Amino acid sequence: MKGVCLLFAVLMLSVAGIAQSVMTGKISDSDGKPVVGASVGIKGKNTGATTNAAGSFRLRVSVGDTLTFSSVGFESREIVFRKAADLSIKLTQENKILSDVVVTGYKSQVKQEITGSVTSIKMDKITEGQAAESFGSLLQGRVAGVNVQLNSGEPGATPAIIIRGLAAVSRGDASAISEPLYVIDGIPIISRMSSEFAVTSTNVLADLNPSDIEDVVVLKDASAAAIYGSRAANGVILITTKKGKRGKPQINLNIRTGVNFVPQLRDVAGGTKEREQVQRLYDLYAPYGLSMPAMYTDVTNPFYNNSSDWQGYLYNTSVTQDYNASIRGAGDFGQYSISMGYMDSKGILFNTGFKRYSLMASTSFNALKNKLIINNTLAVSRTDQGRNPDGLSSGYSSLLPLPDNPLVKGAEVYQPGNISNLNDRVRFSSDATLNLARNLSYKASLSLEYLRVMQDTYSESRRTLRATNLSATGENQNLLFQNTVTYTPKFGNGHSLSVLLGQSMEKTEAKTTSVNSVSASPTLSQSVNWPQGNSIGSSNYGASTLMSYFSRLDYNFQQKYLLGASIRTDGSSKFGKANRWGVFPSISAGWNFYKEDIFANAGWLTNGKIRGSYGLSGTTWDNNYLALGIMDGGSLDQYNSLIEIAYGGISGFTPTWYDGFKNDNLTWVKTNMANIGVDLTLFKGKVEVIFDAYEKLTKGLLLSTALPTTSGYNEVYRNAADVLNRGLEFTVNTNMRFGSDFTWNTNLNFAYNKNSVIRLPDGNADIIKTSTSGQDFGSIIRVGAPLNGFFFYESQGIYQAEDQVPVDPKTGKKLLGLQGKTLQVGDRNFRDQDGDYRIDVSDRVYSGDPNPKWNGGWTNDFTYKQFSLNLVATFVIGRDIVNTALLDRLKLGKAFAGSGSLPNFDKYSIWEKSGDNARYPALNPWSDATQVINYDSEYIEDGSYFKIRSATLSYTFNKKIMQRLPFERMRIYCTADNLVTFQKYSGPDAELVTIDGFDMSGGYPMRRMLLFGVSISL
Amino acid sequence: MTHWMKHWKFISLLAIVLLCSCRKSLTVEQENSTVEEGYYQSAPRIQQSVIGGYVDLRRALLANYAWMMYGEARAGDLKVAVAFQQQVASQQLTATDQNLVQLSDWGYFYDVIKDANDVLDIVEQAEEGVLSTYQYNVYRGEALALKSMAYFYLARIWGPVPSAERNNFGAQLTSEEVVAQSIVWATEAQRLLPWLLLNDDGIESTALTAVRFNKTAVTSLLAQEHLWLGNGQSAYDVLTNTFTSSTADSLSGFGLAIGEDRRTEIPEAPLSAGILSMPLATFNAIYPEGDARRAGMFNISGNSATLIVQDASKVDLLPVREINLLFAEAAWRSQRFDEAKEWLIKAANGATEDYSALTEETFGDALLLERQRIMVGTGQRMFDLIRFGEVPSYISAFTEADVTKGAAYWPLSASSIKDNGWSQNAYWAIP
Repeated sequence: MKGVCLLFAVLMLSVAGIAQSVMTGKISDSDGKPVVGASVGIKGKNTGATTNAAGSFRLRVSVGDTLTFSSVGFESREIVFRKAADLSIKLTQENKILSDVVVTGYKSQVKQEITGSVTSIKMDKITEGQAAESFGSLLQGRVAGVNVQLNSGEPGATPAIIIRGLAAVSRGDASAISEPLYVIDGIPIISRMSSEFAVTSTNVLADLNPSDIEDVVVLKDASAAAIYGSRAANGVILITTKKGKRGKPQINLNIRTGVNFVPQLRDVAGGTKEREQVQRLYDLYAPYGLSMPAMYTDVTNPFYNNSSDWQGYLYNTSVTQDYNASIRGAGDFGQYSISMGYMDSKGILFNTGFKRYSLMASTSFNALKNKLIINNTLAVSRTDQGRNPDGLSSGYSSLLPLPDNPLVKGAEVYQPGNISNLNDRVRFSSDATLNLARNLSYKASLSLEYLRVMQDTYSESRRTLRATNLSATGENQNLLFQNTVTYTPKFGNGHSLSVLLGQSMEKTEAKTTSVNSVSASPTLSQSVNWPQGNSIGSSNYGASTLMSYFSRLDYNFQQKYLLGASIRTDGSSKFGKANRWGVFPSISAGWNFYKEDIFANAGWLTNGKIRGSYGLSGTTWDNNYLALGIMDGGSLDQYNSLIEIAYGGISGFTPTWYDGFKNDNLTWVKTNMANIGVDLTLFKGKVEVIFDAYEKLTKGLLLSTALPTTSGYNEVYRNAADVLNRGLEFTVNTNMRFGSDFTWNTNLNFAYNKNSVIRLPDGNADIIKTSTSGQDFGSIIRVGAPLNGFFFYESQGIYQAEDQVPVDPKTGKKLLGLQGKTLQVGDRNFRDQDGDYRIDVSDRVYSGDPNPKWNGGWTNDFTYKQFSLNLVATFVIGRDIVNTALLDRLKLGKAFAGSGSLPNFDKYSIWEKSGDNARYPALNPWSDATQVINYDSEYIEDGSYFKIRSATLSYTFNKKIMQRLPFERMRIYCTADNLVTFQKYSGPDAELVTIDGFDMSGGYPMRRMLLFGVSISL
Repeated sequence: MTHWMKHWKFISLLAIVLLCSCRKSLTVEQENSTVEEGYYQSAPRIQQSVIGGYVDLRRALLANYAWMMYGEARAGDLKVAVAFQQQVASQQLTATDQNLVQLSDWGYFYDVIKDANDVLDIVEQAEEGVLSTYQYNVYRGEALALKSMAYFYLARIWGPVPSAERNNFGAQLTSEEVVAQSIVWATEAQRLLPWLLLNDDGIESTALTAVRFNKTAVTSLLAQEHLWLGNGQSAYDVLTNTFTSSTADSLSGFGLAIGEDRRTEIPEAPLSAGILSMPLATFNAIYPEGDARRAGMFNISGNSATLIVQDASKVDLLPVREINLLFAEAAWRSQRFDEAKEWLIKAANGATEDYSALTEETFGDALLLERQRIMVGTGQRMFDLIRFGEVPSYISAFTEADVTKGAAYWPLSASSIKDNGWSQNAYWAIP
């Protein structure tokens, strides 16, 4: 610092000499080492230079020119050239912690002045070495309190991102997820489609190329998020895309190829073992007169000793390719950034994969002497997900021949066909900022987003000679117009104020059209014809508007005492006129206590802040017209009676057949959130500690509630349920340097969340989750318990002796099992909770919590000279999951023989004879009341896991080490993805479960990937 | 301050922009669905709401052959060719069969009541000139008649039931209170409804009249209701004041239309051939050899007699042929014995019995028998047994004491008695 001051003094004192001269100079860092590749430019001119390996540069300059010096990782400097002399410039390394500017709602803030709970993730390093379909999966384990759960290993699948605990209820399946709001460069985007408009199953956010992202900011608490009002209750994720930086144009190429390996699949007995197991089951349990199918007994059958590895046949090593190229630059005129990406990720399962084509162009222009800044961004992308129709199964009996067996060649045993999911998104936004006066600016922005989703399905059955075609298209568009005025005066002795006023208007429209046909014979064409009788075409349209006014005020005194407040009011067309507007205020305060005098001499304390916030934010729901009272011309009622609407030649239309009646009182789901936090930076940035504690009360979640049948309605939607999430979040970052060549940076974050239901409709009645067709999901929502708990029969082991079956002392009758079964030795011993000596639905109890109590991640970065090693681990502790995968395979039907592969029974503790200390009951396929039932607490297991998600080893070349390198910089790397999982769970992967805790690994396992890549900067 | 002054043009423009984002944009018009508000603003649309009531009444009475299950099928007179009828006939009404659960749910009848109340509101709130006087009278009359009929069914099937009227919603009403209320509505409907309804072209249409409430049908309903309460004199007055020799040409019954629907077929065909039958022995006992009505009403084949469907396009509920029976009963109950006999003889045309010799003691049994013969297929039998106090004599499963406890009524489904403080009657509450 001293040297810089001296230099500056020298420059100031010197007198201008030669008008223009070639000047040489050297740039070095604070340790005196040369800075390679730094940009040197002249303000207002189009010339520039870059430092070589020795840190030197040459440039033609005139006295009076303003020279600019910049390099990644250093603070930029500007110097007025006064004297024709060689320059020696020292650049100071950026103090990331103190000077970081973080994008928050509608503005940017210096990190030190932030009073909310905000986490910023620089994506640059992450995306350079990792190929991912969406940024969502890259966030896994990076931010405390953000639970990113990958439910499926299928390319293009949507991860569930839940910030600070689940706060969504439904009477049906677990698809109700409290999803955050996604904002790209200040524009809220379409991040998902409501079920009625979701034509494709692809992750909607996968069309944003992660390599285009500069950073991701997660707004977790109400003070940070409340400015987004009615959509902020589940947190807000702000994405800033990469822009050009001053200096010479930066051209980047990142080329990588990955090999996807098949992970451990389901355990299959296979071949002779399967035959023996079938034989054993027949011996033990087959009713008199029933003999094994000939397939197992006929030794002349060519497949008698066959052992087909169906999983091996259908799952194969595959390749992922990912290419990214970009050119970016900036100058006094503004900036430009153009990037292109292509990704082709082949799935490990036959006929699956994901492709993305993306293009993004962003430009900024400065006009009127920088008084007017105009930004334009155009992003175009296409994703293409390929899937199989449902018929494809990897669970066939291992005695059946594989399709490539010469004896059966040509006969397709699995259902041919394919599903193509195509998403096209065009996003255009344009904004103009007018700096009206010092500290006062006005910004208007307009954005149009268009998302087209298309699904084409073709599947045929060789057996029935029927082919199904389905073609569906959905169009979603979002038009947004917003205006903000910012006033940021500084006055007095360190008073600093920032006032933001804004307004926005948004309209979202969605439309679908779908047609399908079933034709009597395979036409082998993918066109949808209109056959007679069984064609169904449908279309749907929905629209909603949102109008908002918002304001935010931040005040600080000498960056020591911080105060923030925001208020937003949102009006939505989704609500009844009586409750259309919602007001979402928040308040926050912070104290940078390290600036107090008593810490003046505490060298170990670099930064210390205490902050607290409280605020209100909201969420809405998908159904656009719920509050209006839609008339519906008849539908199936609770008894599946279909009412027809024509009578005596005239059609009837009455308000009885609503989706629920008009309810003007429906209103916002409101979330009250309180947060206190501490940020500490110690030992000159070597250690950073962040702690947060929060309470999030979500009130008025929408649920249908029963009405007395005398009202003429069955149910009505009401703001009826409240959910409370309480939690703690810890983050510890360390930045260690050992000698001059070795650094070690770590990030450890973990979060605790406790979820509980506070209020439910109908007098807090339990909600046992069932589908509309009456299928029971085995989950319950109960007041006082966490959401979506398992509602199971409580297993007490297995009856080893007849006399263990309880006898009713009043009647002398033995306890009856499920479905009235007379219990025998080897049957499951369920606890008769209500003591009525009959096991039935009323004996089910709350038996487990699928919500993770602790989750987090641990990242380690080691660099040694040009080598670097990056390790990312994630973990979940304290979660129950159900081994549905095993359960489904032990559930043998009467026709089990030949119908599918069997697991190796020896690996599971299955009861066969008295005295067996078994975990699973007798597998009697012919039992009238099977003992392998869905909601048996024995299948609930500990779902905790620790997973090493990725490990990246890289080597960076630059001109310093390789003078003749044709590039500015080149990095080669190798990444292993989904490396290893440590778990107690007996199934394949404890991560691949649904939000409500059921194993999904039967669906699509998560591949292991080994990625090789090279990243080049020109 | 000078900053602000300099930019006054801009600031005022901004103010205009902000204020112009008009709040009206928050009202999103429906493009592919219909909202109740503002819908019923023309006569055809108001008629749709009336039709909605008939559609719901049809569902209440035809789903699971309800009109039969509540009537002849339960009394054991007619067999319906569905499995659960066995349980109905043997009075196992609380069995866990989904069809029985639906039959013991009163929800569909309350749907009709809600429709009718909505129509009454819609008709009342219709703007000047939308409805002609004729339309106003017919739609209001039909709504009142539908409501009266739905409540009357509720009272006959379940006895005491809750009110779904705005003034006393949820109030527990006795069976008598319910019917007394129904009489008020039917009386007004009787005044409003014409003998024959006009079609859209303004021409009197017998086809339309046969499936909608008309003066004949609502008068029959009103007479039934009076008789249910034992008011023979009132029934007699209504009948004699309405039906005169001059109106004989205008009579029309009322049945539920079973038309082809444009979207789907009715899942059950209530009047498909062979669906309603009785064993030959039962048939012979009810209609002895020589009864002229045997061949006209039934097809005999093998061991059973199948009810002939006269008109498969509608299910008769209030047929014209009941009028003479109603006269007979009203006259008998109002101490006009001789007149009653005349009406019965007139009604029982084709019977082998000589009813001229009836005494006051035997008249009741003869009338009940003739009602059984003539009204077969209309779903009235069980209600007749209750009204005549003859349930234990015809249904062996029940004793007099059972009937006192409420055995003749239907049990209530779980959803009917949920959250409304209602409970099963003393008979069906037996664990």
